Amino acid sequence: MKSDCHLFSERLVTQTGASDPPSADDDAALAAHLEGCARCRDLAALATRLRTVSGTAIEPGLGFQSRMIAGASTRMRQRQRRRLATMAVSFGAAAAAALAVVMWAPSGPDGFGLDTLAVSDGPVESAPERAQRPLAARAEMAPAPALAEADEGVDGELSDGEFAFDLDLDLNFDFDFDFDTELEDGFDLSDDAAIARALLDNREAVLGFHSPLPGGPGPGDIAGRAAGLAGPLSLSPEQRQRIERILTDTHQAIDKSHAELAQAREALRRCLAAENPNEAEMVRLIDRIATLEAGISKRRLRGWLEARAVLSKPQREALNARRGRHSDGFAGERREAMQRAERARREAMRHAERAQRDAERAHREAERAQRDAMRGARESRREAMREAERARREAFQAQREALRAAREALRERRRGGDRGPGLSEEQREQIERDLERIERELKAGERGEIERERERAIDEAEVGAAVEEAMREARTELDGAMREIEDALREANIDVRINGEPGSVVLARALDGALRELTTGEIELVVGEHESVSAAVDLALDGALRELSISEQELQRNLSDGELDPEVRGELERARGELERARGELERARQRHRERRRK
Amino acid sequence: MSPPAAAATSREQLLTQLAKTAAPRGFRIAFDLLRDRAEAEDAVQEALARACAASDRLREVQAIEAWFFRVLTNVSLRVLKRRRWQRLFRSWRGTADGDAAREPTAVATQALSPEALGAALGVGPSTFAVPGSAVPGGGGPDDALSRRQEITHMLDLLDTLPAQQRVALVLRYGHERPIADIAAMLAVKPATVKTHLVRGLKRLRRAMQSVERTHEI
Repeated sequence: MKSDCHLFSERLVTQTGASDPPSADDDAALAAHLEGCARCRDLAALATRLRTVSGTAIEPGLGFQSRMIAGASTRMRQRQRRRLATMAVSFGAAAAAALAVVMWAPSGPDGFGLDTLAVSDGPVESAPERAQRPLAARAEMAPAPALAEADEGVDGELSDGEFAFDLDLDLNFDFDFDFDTELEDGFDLSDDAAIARALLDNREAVLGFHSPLPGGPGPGDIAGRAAGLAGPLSLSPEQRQRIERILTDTHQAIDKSHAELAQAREALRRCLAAENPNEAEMVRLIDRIATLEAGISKRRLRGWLEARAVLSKPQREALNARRGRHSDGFAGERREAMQRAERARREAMRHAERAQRDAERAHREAERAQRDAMRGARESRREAMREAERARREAFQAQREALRAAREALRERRRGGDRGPGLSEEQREQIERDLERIERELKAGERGEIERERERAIDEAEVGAAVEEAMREARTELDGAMREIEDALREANIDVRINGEPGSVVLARALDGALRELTTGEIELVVGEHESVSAAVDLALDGALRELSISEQELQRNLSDGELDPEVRGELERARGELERARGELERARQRHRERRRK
Repeated sequence: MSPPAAAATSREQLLTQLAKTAAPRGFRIAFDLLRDRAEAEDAVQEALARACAASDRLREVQAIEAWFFRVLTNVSLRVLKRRRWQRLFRSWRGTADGDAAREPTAVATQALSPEALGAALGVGPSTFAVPGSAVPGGGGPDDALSRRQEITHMLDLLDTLPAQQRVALVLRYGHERPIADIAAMLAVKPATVKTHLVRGLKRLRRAMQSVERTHEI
């Protein structure tokens, strides 16, 4: 009988809402028991606590459903991929194991493991030994009925005094024999003596068992090794005798038919060679030949069926299995090997062609990428060159302005009667001529040579070299101009002081600055930084304006001289007007440049 | 539509349906068993994936939900067992290093005994007899804290149980699932579930008594 504790435990476990304590209505006995049993009370309290603990479980958060669907989908895909990978690995392992089994072959003491699969009652002899044995010795070893056949029927090749032949024969007895020709291996299929001789010579190859070729199956010869895995036909002596008798009878019958066939063919040849051929006779001979050929085939088939009937069922099955693999003989094996080699060669050719196509495609793509890169570089260089041209033009402009200012100052001095220390009128004129020449050269250099160079560079797309050349020439010309101006001013010893500094120094600094900006522009051009080029243009413009201001100041200083001749003053006023007009143009040029830069 | 594509579509629909109907309940069960949100969500995802992948093999599509809960229970059981091994390994490492105090469960159990908590909080041990009713007029901060501590203590005790007993107890008393359902989820006979329940309760009670005795000493 179960105790109350047991009953309470059962109730606690099985009933729904089991963790609630039993009420008196429910079960008075259990309720009374619960009052007095601390253990059961503890158990009930535990159940309640467990419910409380579970009540604290959190709810799924926001996006729970989406997370679950996404995560589960990902896991499903991963599982599928894993399964596929596992299957692939398993399949690969199974294939490798199967290949290893097929490739494996037990090696005998002579290295030709399959040679031990000889006919059971005959002496065990390896293929090389048999192949190396002289024909005479082999003939002596053959039984008498076969010996006679071997002397006249076996067709082979003689080399180095040894008789070695490739036996390409089985008992397939296909019905498409070509009686007039031999197989490429030098063995006459119509020669039944070979069948008998080979059988009696323990040639398993006759029954299609293993390769009689020296060396046996090679390392990669899977078919040969697979063929060697099965057991031998194991002919009993009685079976051998019966097969020998059948083959002898068959051969005799066929030999007789062959003799008649030869006579018929000879008669047919004679008829054909006759002066007046007898057509009826020829038709008769052809029918006769066809009948004899059919008879030979039928006799051979009957012989094969009789020989096959001698074999037991396992032997027939083994023979059929072998014929299935070697139905075409060893010539067939060679053909298969050649076909495999041909397939491998074609495959290799396909691979090579594919690789070549890939290489050519990669080469074309590389060339295209190179062309694109060169085109891009050319474009950027062309753009940079245009910027350089603009900067150079601006620098020339600034230089011209500076030159004009210097010349104006010189004229002004002359008009003012300040001839300068040690400077004759001729020298002064010479200086002016030099200055004009410099200006002309600058203009010519700007408009002529460098323009042509630039056009040539653009036309010939040798942008980089052209830019460098143009920049170099511009720099050379600027250097030369600066030097000449300095020399002229030094020779003239014109005391043009600007802000307390000699005018030549200021001019040289201005030219140097322009040159430096040009160089900076060139550097910036290399990296395609148009911003710096624009800044260089700004600087050049600023420099030109500064020089203009200096000239204006100088002019103003001369104009402030109270003792100035009215005519000279008028000229100075005109010069100032010119300066102001130049300033206006420079300001407008700067404005345009700024707008362009802003755009 | 090709059969594989149709199957994939069907699986997707099944997954959506399961995620809508069964996944929230599954999450509550998994969280109750594992007490970790991330692991519970992982378990639900895995169970969904496995159930949907196996939907082709099910004779009745209606059984997919039961299959989902069964897989979920298995996944949770596996996590619990793995945790147990990890605890053992950590305990072994702690012993090997001469630092047994690294065992978190021991520390937690000792620190969260009902007696010690009751003494520390100025309430009697009966506070933990039947939660919610032992403290008259409960609802203050002390009460909430003590209840939280008790729950932690209970969870620590549950951790000491074998995984199947724990699952059976939680499903039966926490989620009020019938014995037959629990048997299906654990892939055992109903009688085995009952055995797990009885043994689990006994073991839980013994563990609790053992802790209480330790603190009395």
